[in-house]
Amino acid sequence: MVKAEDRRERLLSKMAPRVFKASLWGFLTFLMYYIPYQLLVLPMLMFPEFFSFEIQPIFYNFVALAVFFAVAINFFSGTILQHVLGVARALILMTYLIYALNGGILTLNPNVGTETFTILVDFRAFLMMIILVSLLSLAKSILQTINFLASEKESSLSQE
Amino acid sequence: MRQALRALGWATKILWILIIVFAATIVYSALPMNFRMGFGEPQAAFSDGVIVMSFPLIINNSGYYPVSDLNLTTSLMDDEGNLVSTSTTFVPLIARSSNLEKSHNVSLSLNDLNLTRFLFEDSNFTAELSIAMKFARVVPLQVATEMAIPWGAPLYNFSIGEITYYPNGTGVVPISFENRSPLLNVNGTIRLEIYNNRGEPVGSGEKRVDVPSNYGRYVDEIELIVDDPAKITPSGQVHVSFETSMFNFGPVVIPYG
Repeated sequence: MVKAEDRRERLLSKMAPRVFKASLWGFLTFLMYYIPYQLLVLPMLMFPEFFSFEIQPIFYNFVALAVFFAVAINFFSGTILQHVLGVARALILMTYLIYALNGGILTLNPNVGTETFTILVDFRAFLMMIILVSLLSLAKSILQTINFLASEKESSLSQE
Repeated sequence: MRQALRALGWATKILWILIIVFAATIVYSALPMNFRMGFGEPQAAFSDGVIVMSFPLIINNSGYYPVSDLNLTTSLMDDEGNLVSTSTTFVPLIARSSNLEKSHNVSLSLNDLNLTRFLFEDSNFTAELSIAMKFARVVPLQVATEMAIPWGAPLYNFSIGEITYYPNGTGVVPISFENRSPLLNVNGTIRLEIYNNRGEPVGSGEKRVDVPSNYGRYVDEIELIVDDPAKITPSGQVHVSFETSMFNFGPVVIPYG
């Protein structure tokens, strides 16, 4: 009975800081995306006739993914899962951005008065920059995984 | 390895910040309060049957980035969808914090139009407007719209009244029409030739008219000189020709009697 309680306490004392750290990083990640979102989107919302497109679901899905990975990565920090999740995050966010932003070509059809406009924005160059930075993140995560495995092996060899 | 990972981490963070700042400043620069584009008061000029409408294009770029390769194209189509005019204006660069004014000229050759319809009947033109430009040299943007432009006929509802002949070898033909055109003045000569029901010429007459654009109903009489009163018949045809400073047209055949 005492052993079981001890184990629970030990588990709790081990898990609590991880949960706290993961929650904090989740919140910080949310803020990190929310502030630029406000900067980018609020001016757009001032002109609803031009920017009536549904950007909010795209943004919310993106932030949900980013927050999920931030929480998961921090919860599993110090394990191989942290790095595997890092690789998965870079790949998934990159794919999601390409899909959600329609390959970098956005078409809007706002109505101004009685006229209907067709606005075509080609931000493929911009999307390319995002992909390149995401690839850099991916490379970093892969290197971190290799580094983690190497240091694990090193420590097990030194113990032997 | 650790140093490389740290360097990669910092590089990624810095690049993300740069991309976010770049995106935010581009969006901010492209907002209507920072990038304004409009047309001034249009002006029309006429020469050799060609109407040239000049639209002053006014651009105010107070954003953070230059706007390059601005291409404004207008295409004008008649109500049957036939292309009657296309014009392009190209501006290679609008530097940041600068204003620019450039004329966009749209030419419309009356010779290319079906004048019978456009002189006597109201119609609609369709204008396709397309503006392409590059923000910060990397983000191409294209805006296109289509609008209907009503055409008012300068000789709308042209008609002749009952011809009156006088014993002294003259006659009078009442004419009336509406100049509904906002652009064209009917300033010139209207010529009439009267033919009897056997197709023989009876007489002719002409009159100088000056009917400004958007005039409304114009009513007048044209005096005739009858060549041979014996040829007068109760019915026949009137051949009407128009010679104005903006267009020459005719003869239009109108039956009478």
